[in-house]
Amino acid sequence: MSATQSGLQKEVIALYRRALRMVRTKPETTRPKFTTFVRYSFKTQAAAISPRQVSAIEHLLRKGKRQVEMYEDPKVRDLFVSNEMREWDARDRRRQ
Amino acid sequence: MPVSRSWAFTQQARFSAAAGLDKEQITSRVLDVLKGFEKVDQGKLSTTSTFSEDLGLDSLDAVEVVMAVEEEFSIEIPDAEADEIKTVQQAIDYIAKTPEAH
Repeated sequence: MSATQSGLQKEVIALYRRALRMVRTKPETTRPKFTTFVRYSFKTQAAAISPRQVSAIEHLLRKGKRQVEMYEDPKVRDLFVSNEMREWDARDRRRQ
Repeated sequence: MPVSRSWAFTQQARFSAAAGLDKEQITSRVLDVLKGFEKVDQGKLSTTSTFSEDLGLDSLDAVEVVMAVEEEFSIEIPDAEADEIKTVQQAIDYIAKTPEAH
């Protein structure tokens, strides 16, 4: 990503922050799973796309917003996290 | 009303205690937060480090760092201000000027 933040990048960052704030509202026992899911979803998709693919990013943003809204529902208290997501998360946290 | 008076006193005590966070304390707690991030280049960690160039964090990692600082000091930083925190020193300065931080 470029040094100066584009409006689009700001939107992605704002959505990431909103998603992580959503995680804080979840039960302590399932919170790590939500964190893994949010990190995995944002970071693998960000890595798979070039900053120049504007309309693809806009599409992901719209999709992401809908997803975050869904997960913000207090009725959602748990979610499925695959082994692949878990392993990716552990690897990413160690990455230098 | 003794009840309301004691409430007011508690509030006052709480705020004066928060204002009592000294810069040294804030600095070491912010640095400790960053030590908790394995991917942070610990050899380059100091108060003058920038999140991206010095510590090797991308923009999403930086969001996680600022939110970890929020949790450490039990505050919520508004988006516009959080976006401007790009160095360790800026995080320290933000906490120092925030009376709710404790």
